[in-house]
Amino acid sequence: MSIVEMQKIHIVSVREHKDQILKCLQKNEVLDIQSVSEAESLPISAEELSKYEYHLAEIKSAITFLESAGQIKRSFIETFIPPKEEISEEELVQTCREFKCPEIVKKCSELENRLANLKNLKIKLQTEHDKLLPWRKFEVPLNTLTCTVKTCVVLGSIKTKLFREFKNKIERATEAVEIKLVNKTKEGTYLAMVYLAAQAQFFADLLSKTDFNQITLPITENIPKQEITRIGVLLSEIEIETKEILAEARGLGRHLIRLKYMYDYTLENKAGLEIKQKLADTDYTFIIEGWIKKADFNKLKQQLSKVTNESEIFKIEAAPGEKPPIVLKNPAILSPFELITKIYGTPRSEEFDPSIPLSFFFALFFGICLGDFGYGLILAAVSIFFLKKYRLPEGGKKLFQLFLLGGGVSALVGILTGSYLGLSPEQIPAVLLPLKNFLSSIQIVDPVKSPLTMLVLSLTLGVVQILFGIFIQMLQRIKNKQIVSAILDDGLWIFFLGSLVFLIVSNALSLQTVQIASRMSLAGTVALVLTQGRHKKNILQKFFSGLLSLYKVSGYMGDTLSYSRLLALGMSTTIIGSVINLLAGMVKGVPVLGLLLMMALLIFGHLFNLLVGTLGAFVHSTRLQMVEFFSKFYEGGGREFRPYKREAEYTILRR
Amino acid sequence: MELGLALALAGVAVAVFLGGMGSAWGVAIAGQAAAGVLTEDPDKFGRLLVMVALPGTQGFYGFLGGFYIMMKIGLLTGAVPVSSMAGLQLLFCALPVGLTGLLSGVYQGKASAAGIHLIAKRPEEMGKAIIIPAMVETYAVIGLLATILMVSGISL
Repeated sequence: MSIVEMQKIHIVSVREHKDQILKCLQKNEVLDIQSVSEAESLPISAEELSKYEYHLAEIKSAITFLESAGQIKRSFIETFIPPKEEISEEELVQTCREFKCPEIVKKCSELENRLANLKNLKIKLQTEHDKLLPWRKFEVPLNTLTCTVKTCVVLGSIKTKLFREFKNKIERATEAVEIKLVNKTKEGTYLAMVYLAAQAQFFADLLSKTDFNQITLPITENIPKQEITRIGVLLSEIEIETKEILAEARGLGRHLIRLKYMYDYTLENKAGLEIKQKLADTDYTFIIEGWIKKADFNKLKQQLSKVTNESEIFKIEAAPGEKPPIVLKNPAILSPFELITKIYGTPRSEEFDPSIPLSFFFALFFGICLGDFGYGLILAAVSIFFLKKYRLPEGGKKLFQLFLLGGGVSALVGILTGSYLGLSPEQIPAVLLPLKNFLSSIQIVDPVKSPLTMLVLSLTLGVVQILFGIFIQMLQRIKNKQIVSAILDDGLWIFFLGSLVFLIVSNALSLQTVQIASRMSLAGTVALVLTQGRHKKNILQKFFSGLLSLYKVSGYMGDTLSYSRLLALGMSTTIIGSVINLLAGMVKGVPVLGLLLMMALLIFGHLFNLLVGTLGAFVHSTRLQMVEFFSKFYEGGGREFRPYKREAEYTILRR
Repeated sequence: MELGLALALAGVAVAVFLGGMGSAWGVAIAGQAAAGVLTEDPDKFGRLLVMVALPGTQGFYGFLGGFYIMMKIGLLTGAVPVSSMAGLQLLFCALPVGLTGLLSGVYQGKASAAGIHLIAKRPEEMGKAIIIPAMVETYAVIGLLATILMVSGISL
């Protein structure tokens, strides 16, 4: 339906023109280059490729370092849509040739290493400093605190409230010990103890039975106080040096833009190398194999002839079983819906593109789920803003176009269900009586007051979409010449499900048609039992498998009930909106700040509700397409068409 | 009469706090996974925020169910007398949204966390990562729907 016809081609030329021709292909972005079939693969220059990759990683880390040193922050929106620099190709190549990239990269990594070392050193010194701090009154050079032949020294701390008990315990155990109190704070008591070397083992055992916490101080000839001062000086020196390095890095920041150019330039060279590995070379010539849109063939031929007359382009047959890559082409207004198809998976070449069939339902469901006039308009306006202001990637563009359409439909649904930023027409002040009357008159249903009506409407939409899905399956089978299965499977099911719906409706409204409807469903049942087991051999198997197929009805019922979410989501946006209005009305009574509070609550509340509502509307309408609709006729799994083109992270080429 | 109102309010409370608990729990699970990914790649914050927000809806559904009961008994506009039996009925009405909200919130959080890991490795597959946790949410929506239909079916 809307899958573009593709053509497989070969381009043959002499090797001197390889680069020019590839450049031309890259510019035109029309050819999906494949590895040449039946050709010996070229020696893969893995080494060269990894050189590029290493280089890219180096540049990237330099960019990250300079950006963090320069404290360049991206805004929230920019994390989604990174800004890109526009530059002409000549300028890019020129800049990159002149730019002494290795030098800058090396400098950056040096600075980064120095910074990391300083940071480590700082942490080390800081811990030492903190460790020494309680001992600042201990006026003994730290390298003298070692064991002599006769005595040993141990330093440590104990919780202050346990100190008395500890001291008693030690002194009771042995007399040959000197406990010196060095520092006492609320939490901890710090002490030095001297004991006999001969009793070392005994003493160690004794200490291990208490809450004594042994501390080892750094060994220097300074007394703790001097050492603390020395570390303090070192720390401030580190601080200064860090600042200097950061300043130097900020100075290097002027190269940031060139590093980014270099990154993209290298990326392009790497892509060129990868593409070349897909070509087949002879001594003097080479072959490019790939897929192109049929419509683009002549255009490419013309473009190539401009590059060189020593090349030939011709159509070839696809290998048996080979599937062409898929390009979707739909009218501009419907093309955003291709996004939903692509999230699920590109269609296979023998399938229909489901983008058009789902478009109507998706927009409607999105509208019902958001379901508010004000929110719809705001969403549409925001989408227009993003589409105009930012240069969005393909997917992002389609997403906002979807929001634009969905927002429009929401506004319509909001009018029909009487929801204006959570307000219903009845709440409009009497001053605007004509408007109030007008809006009330065009409101067809109030989901909050009569949820049942809305539920029936939601389920009806579900039935319609499910039947439509089976109908598409039927068309697809007819197109693929599976006429029997189209009629007996899809046709019969449509008839049977249709008659069931007819029966339910007739029953609910107690119409005269109940008789006809029940006969129709009975006929459908019999027909299904007779036909659904036709692939089985045995007559008994045929019968049972036919009978069992009726079980599928429960599946269809489940699918239909799933559409009830339309009601629930639509109501949730409206009710939460009205709660926000209610709360705003309450805070209005607050003296002095009342109006301000009310405005803040209204703005943030509604913005928040809009965000949550939009997320829910998108997710659930997408789900209904993928699970309930696609399961009837669509599998996906085709390969997307990826033409050879320039890939870049930071720049866009000016044409 | 008084008991009826109390029971109805218990229903409101059950709907709101169970749904809220489910969401808080689920969002926390997803949030932990997201924070882990962000240590490696802070630029993914925007994408991951969406994933973390996904299990947040159950809280709203619970609140909505509670609010629907409040509207039914006219709590904010001038209370309608509620018989004790009607109050009990309203309390039962609150259970579907509350319990489905609690459990689906937690499990949606887990599915979201898995989706976050998917985005960490393949950021281009965000669409799929969003859809999978949304499957779990279905049952909270059904719970809400049941509550709303039950409440609107009760005559005071």
